[in-house]
Parts: sequence; C-alpha cells; structure tokens
Amino acid sequence: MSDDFDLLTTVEYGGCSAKIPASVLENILLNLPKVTDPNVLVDIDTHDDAGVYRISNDLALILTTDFFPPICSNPFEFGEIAATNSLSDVYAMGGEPFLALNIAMFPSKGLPLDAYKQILEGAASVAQKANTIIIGGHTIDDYPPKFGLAVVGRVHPDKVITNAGLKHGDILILTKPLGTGVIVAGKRLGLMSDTAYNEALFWMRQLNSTAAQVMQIIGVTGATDITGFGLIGHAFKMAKASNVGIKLYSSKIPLLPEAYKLADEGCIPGAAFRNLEYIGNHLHVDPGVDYNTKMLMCDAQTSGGILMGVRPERVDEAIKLLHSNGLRYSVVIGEVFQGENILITR
Amino acid sequence: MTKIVDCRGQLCPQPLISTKRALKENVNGEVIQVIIDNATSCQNVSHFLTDNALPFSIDEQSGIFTITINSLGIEFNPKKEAEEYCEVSFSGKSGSYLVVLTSNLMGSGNEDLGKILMKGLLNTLPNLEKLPQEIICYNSAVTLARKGTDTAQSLVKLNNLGVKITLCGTCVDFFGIKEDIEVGTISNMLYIAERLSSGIHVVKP
Repeated sequence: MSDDFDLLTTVEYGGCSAKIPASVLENILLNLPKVTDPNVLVDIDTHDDAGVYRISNDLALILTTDFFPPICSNPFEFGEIAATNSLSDVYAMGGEPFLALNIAMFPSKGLPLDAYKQILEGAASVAQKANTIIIGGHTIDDYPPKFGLAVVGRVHPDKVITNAGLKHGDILILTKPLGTGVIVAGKRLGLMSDTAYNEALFWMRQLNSTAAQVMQIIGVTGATDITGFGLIGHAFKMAKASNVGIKLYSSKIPLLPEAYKLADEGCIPGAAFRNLEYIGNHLHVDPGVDYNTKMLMCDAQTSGGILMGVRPERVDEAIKLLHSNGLRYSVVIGEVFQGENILITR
Repeated sequence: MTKIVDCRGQLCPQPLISTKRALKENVNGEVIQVIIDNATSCQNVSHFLTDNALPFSIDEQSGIFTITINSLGIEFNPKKEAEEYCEVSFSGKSGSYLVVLTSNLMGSGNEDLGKILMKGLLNTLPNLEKLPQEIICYNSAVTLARKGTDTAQSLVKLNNLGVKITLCGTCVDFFGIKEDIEVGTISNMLYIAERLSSGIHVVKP
C-alpha cells in the first residue's frame, strides 16, 4: 500500500536544507562549557564534522550524528541517502564507521507504517555496504518523518583528518557534483527530467568511503564533507579553522545535470540564501563570476562530496585514484592562500 | 502599467522562479508587483533582487507581502548586472557615474558658444578613461539626439561604447521630435527621478 506513497508530500524543506542556519547555531554553541579532556582530539571548537576521542595510542573513536526530513519520494531511497549522509562525517575525518544507531521520528497514525519499515531497510542496506552494524535505535512519534544515524567510527589517532589542517599552497579537490538542493526543489515543482533526478539520487547514495581511502593513501592536510552549509559555507568553516584563505574557481565547479538550468530559472532554495548570509562579508566575488554558479556554490547539499586539501605534487595522483574508483566528477576547484576569507574567481 | 505576479500558495522557491520569469519577460519596463504569503520566500526574493541591484520596496499587510520592483528602464541581465555591480564596488573603472544634460547648450551666456561647447563635450566624452554609465537628457537637451546632427553622432558613439542614452519622453513630445530621434531610450519622470536619487554620482556639466 505504501508503494505509491510520496514522502516529499510531508515536508517543505527536505534533507540538509532543514538545518538551523550556521550563524544561529554558532551563537548557541558559543556559551557551552569548554571541553578540557586531553583525549578529546576534535570537539565543537573547530565546528568539524564529528568529535574524535582517543581510547589508546593506536585507536580513536569518531562520533557523529545526523538526521533530517525526507529528501526524496521513495522511503527506501530516503533511508539509503540519510544513512549515507550520516556515515559521511566519519569518512570526512579519515575514519571507518563500524557501529550505528537509528534515530527516527515517524507518526504512528496517518502515514503508512510500511514506509517507515522501508526507510529502515534502506539504511540497513547502506550500513551493510559500509561494514557497519546497526545495533539499535530510537523512534519518536512525530510528523513529519525524520531519519538518520548516530555513528561510531574508528581511526588511528595520528591519522585523524580535520578541517583545521589546511596550509598555504594546498590544492582543493571536490569529489561529488553540486546541486542536490536545487534539484530536489526542482523535482518537487516538476521542473526537471527523471534522468537528471536519478543522477542526483545516485550521487546522494554514494558513500564517501572511496574518498576516505584515497585521502589516507595520498595524505591530505585537511578535509570536510559538503552538506547543509553548501560549498562556500563548509569552505569558510575550513578556512577559519585552518587560519587560511580559500580561493574557489567558479568555472571549475562540478555540477549535477540540469542543476544550472534550474538555478537560472530561479529555482534556488532558501537555504542557499541563508548560507550566503552566513558567510556575509567574508565572501569576495570577483567581477564576472556567474550569479547562478555562485548560488549553486551556496546550495545546501545532502550527502555531498569531500572537499580535501592536497599538496600540489600529489594532486595528479589523487585525481587519478578518485577517477579510477568511480568518482568521475572529482576535480580541482580551488587553492589555499595565506590570509582569510573566501574568494570566488572566474 | 503594473504587472502582478501572484505567488500566494506557492511553495519555496516557486515565488523566486515566477519573479525571475516576470523580470526576463518584462521588455516594456513595467513595474512588477510580486505578492507572496510567506516570509521566507519574501526574504529570498528580496535577497535575489538586492544581489542583482534591482530597486524594490516591500509592503506587508497581515502576512501578505507585496514586493514592488521598479525595473523601469533597467534591463534585467543577471550576468551583465553582476559584472557592473562588482566593477563599481571593486575597481570603479567604469559605469560609476551618470551625466545629466539639461539643455542643448553647455553653460549659460552666449548661445553660439554654448552650442560649440556642448558639441565639444559630447565629442570628448568617448575619450575619457572612465565612461559614464548613462547620459540622461531632458528639456532642450533631448534635441541633441536629433537625426543629422553632430551631437547625435557623438551620442551614437557613446552608446556603442556601452553608455546608456536616456531621453525624457515629455520633452521629446514637447519639441515634437519623436519621429526624428537618432539614438536613445525614451523614458519618463519616474525613471529619471529614480536614477537621480539612486545615490550614484551625478555629473551636470
């Protein structure tokens, strides 16, 4: 009976677009007590993707959670995307996930419960691919539905990749195309082809595990995954945490099929404007940078790719490895300079 | 004429799509009124307009927002607009001021001298390092754009260099030269008043 049930009918803002604006969140987090335990290797101080705690000299745990309202119509696919997105933070820190809990909100009445079952099945299938065991969970009776995972990953304490390690001269590589926010909005308004929509779903379901493995082989200086704050928002967080400036080449940004066309029609979700407001006057845009591309660089991504800083001499090898492992959109999109702020060039 | 874009009941970002479509189709420079019933969409549309340097005002009545876009005479071209916008704030090389001509003469006093000076001015403007963004002509200055005159040739040259030439419609009618115009866009007092009050540097020779 739930075969035809469209999850998107339950929400106005789906996926990572539903995040609290970064500027609001930072103010809330500002007054929390500081963490002093020396085994805490990464905490909220640098606004990184996940927390990292050292258990022993050769083992640290990565802890993260992420959940959001429906991003697509099909419940199984929503489960897959939400799980992929939750696991992504562990990969962005250079780790491997191995344990997870379901976090769910679903109404006990009014919606077909079979849809909830399918969400969990979708998540389970992704967890299996990621060699992660889901050992429990928690469900609240609530509408609209929301779903995600709390994930535990492991990493060698010396191999933690943070967003704070970028150095002057690093080259930035992005591993997935941008535009999921624009595309989900376009799909809901019936403005796009099924082929292009399916391509976006495909990329949202791609685990960032390959990117994490490549990072450990190449040895990166810093990395983050691109989600709700958009490319510029996450780049800005990285720049701040690393005390550097980041230059992004707008003409090199990989985009999902039809994303540009949609943005040009004005199909730009509110989250993109919120992200633009968040970065405010820390963003400099060169004359001649295309407006639509700029807005796509602000577009909130769900289960987006990894943005990594690589030393120039390792770039070719990194790109080659990423491409040969299926991440065919991977491309150099910018560089790190001594300074501060985000600069968008042609 | 006002064009109404009713976005009530529309899901975000449909109001922005509708607004952008109306702007693109707005070849006659009509005033566009966008009616929106949720604050988020209203915020996004106004952010977009600000980003693209389009003048607008917002009126709110019991949760219904009316955004009035005075796009009169402003051609909506996101790429070009963005470039101009940036050039003004980043380098100030061109397009950062406008010239207002209020008479076919330059300065007051001897009429023959005034004509020669005006001719000389329009001849010289194209050679300036910093070109004006626009030249607005009113009163007898509109006659400078008449076919067969040297001054019209200079204005054409400026226009080809990307300088917008604007003529006061009332003045063109007053002198009865509507059929006789070589160059320039005929506009009205609302547009002229808006440009003069927009805060841009105005040069009146």
